Amino acid sequence: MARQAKATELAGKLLEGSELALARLISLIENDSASMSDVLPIIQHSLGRAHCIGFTGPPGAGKSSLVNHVTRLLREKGKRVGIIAVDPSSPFSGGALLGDRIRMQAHSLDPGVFIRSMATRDSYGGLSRATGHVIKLMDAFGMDYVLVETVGVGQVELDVMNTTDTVVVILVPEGGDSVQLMKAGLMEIGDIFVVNKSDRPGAEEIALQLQVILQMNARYAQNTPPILLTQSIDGLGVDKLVDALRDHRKGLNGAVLEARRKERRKKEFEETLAAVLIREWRRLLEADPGIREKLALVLEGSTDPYSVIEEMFPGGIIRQNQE
Amino acid sequence: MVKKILMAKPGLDGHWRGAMVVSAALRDAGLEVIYLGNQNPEAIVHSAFQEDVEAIGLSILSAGHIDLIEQVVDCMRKKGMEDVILVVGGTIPGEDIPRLKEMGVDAVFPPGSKIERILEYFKQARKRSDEPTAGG
Amino acid sequence: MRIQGKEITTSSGIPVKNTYAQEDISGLDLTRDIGLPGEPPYLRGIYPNMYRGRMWTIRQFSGYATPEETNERFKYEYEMGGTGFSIAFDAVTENGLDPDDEGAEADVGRGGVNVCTLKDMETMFKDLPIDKISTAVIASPFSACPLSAMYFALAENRGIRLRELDGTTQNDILLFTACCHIPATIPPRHLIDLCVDLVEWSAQNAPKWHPVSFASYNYRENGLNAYQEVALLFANAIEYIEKELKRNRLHIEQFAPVLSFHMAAHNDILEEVAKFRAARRMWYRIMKERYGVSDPRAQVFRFHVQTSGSTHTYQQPLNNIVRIAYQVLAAALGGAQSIHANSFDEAICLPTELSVLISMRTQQICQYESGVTVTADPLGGSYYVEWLTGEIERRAWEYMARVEAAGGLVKALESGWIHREFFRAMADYQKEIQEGTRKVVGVNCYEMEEEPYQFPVFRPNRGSAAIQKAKLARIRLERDNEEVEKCIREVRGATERGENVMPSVIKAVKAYASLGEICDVWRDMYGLWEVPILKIE
Repeated sequence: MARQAKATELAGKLLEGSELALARLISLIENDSASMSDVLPIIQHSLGRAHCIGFTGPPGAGKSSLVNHVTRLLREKGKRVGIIAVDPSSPFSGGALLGDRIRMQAHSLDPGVFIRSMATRDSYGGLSRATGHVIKLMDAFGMDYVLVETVGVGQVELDVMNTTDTVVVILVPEGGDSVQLMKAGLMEIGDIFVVNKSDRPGAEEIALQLQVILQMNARYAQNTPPILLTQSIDGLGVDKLVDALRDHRKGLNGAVLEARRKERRKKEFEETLAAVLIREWRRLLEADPGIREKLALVLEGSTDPYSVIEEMFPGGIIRQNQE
Repeated sequence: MVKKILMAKPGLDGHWRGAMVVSAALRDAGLEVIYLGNQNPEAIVHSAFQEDVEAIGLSILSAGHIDLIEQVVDCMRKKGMEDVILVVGGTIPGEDIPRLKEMGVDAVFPPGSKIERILEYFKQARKRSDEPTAGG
Repeated sequence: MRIQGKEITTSSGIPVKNTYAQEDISGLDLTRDIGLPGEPPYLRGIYPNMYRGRMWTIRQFSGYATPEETNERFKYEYEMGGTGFSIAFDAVTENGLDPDDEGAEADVGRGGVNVCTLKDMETMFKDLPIDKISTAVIASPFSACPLSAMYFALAENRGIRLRELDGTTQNDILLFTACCHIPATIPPRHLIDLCVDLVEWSAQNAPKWHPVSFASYNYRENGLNAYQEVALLFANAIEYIEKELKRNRLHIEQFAPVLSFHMAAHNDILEEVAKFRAARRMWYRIMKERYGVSDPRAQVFRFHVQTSGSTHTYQQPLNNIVRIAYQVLAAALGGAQSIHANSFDEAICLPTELSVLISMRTQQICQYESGVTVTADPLGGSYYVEWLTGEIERRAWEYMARVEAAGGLVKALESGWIHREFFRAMADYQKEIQEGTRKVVGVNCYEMEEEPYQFPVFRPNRGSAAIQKAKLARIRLERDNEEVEKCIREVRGATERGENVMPSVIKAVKAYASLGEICDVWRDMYGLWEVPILKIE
């Protein structure tokens, strides 16, 4: 079956509630995100219902367990939950060991929960684009909540968090990780902060430090985001987190939410554009020996990228942008 | 070539060494490995279904392989996952291997199997069909 | 041995010279550092006459299917000259679950015997003289209190005084959290309390019972080398001791004598001998120097040895008989108090009667024909062995310091540090076999296309789950359920108040509360543990 027809057919089945279609579509999009162009027109009108929440924090902060408990509480309310667990790919082999499902076994047979592991793989903003697509698929499938979990290191993860409505940043008392995070930009993106493993020494202190730091941050000038204490092993405090998630969603009233989503669509557009341009460029390279020669000059260092681009696009794109 | 595999230990036996060593080797060979740890057969198959993997790897050292694999194969059939590759490692007596293959196991790797052989297997293996089955 | 380039090393990677001579042990004070058998630092053995006085105990680790079938196997071993029992439980029992638990069925009676009530324990030891022959209850730390309580109750019901009862519970916190991992256990920081409860209770009520046997056997099986094995063994023992001392209920002299140890015999014979000797000297130093203990009963390092299952090959499995024999030899030369010789078919199935018989005969041949038991510590004074003993000790102290730097044992366990060490070690071991720097006959050299040996394969009874479930259902009908509920509440009360749980657990098992019912109390209180296996890299 042609790829396009396959994507279209699966999208139709997705809307009818086929789990198989959801599983297959995610693979399709993961392997070739351009397939989304065939899917989007079909699901476009079923989007925007799910509340999408990102969970991020250092390795070992207990993100998966927290997601697990949040899922439990949402399920008690009868909500349907999609979970996207993102783990890094090895930069050397491209392979990945994805283990987040272990912490979510309580839900492994629950028909109201769909869990999918994703490896970061590589490429230009590719992960956040793929994750964004998968969120849409789960949304269209009829999930009330989509929970996205990533390790909070690096730009890639920050981009992923930008694809969600609410961002939960998770910290733990021990180690110097928290200080590192404050430097790493996670402080800028959180809507809710959680100090997990709060039974360990130092939990109160880190919550206090956090409060001071957040108060000094311009982003939170209007109101400081909630800082909650949880214990993900037995789920203590997670009910408060679920309340805070609901409050945050409520607070995202029409205008704020729309602004956020607009920003997200803009980013998505730019990423798509970049991906398309790169792909076209590579096709051109394949077809045109003249262009290959020009690239060779860049590669051997005898000319700079700007001069070549300027030469190829005589309209003077670069100069215009720089003025 | 297989790109994505789910690795699990059906039942309650806790010998994790073989499953982890093989998982790490597959990861280092460029595969995406979803590691599930101990789980019951139904949950293993359901997870493999949601993850849309090309292969399921089971590690069994509890002597319960016939029963456990019977259950896994049965769950796979119910989900229409006959096209997913099923591979088993662990303490499996040689005389059981023909029977397991009859039941639907594609390959068995007993103790002492060379990692290169396992990698080679996944390199040449492919799902029996790449088409979505009807329904869902 | 391993060969890497020009360097030849022991199995543990310690570089070895062509010859050893006087100069290699010139730093040793022969009296202070070596001494005589039965005298400090006990390097040469814990008794002056060693095997001339008493042979080691032949204790085969056995168990499969139902308690009825395991009883048959125990009787067989007893008739064939076994001098100690050792119970292999199935994964359901180790997890502290009942056979009727959802998802337990396929594991009931598989890797061992299923036991869930006192009734099962009674059946398993029917017509066996447990007043004369000791038993090792190879229970996970999570199931250790209830399973030991069942054995104690069995003894009491037979009129045996607990003060006279001889035996061991495994009860090692690492064994089922890091070496294997049981999915239904509680977090280690709570688990250790249960472990230490059994130690404390036994020290006061059953002084001949060894309530813990630190199982470095299993650390070794997970890929650690000889000196890491010793180091982790003592790091673990120290964790228990510190935990009990913090409670301020017992002096160290009151409980140190009941601690016992379970080591591996791997395939580098002389390195293993050196390891056993080094362990004795280190334990003496830990007791004397770290804790100021002067009671010799606490200073001597008593240990059981199991031959190394991970050295067995699936290929050409009868070759394993030879490996096992060499490993028994190492344990004998190293002065073990009891030995389990594995069976040659264990890479393939649970042992058959035939393979168990060969293992027992292997030990008996070593005891009575090999000549190595005629004198204590026959290798004492060998330049190479004395040098290697010192080298292992030195490296073991270093590795212990690393465990301490990782925050001590429980912390290292919860953070995944220990899993990481195990994983690295096992991956390296595997790599050495792949690359051929570590030779394994039949696997990476002298391989054969066709399997040359034929032998029977053991098939456990596939009906065990149904039988065990039916028995449990019947017990639940016949027992006084109100009394059971009251007992279970008492277990919970004792745990909540931080009291020793053993009195209430013994009462509960006597009322025929099941293993799963008791362990549910703790699962309910503390939740399940997230095993940090995936934090290994």
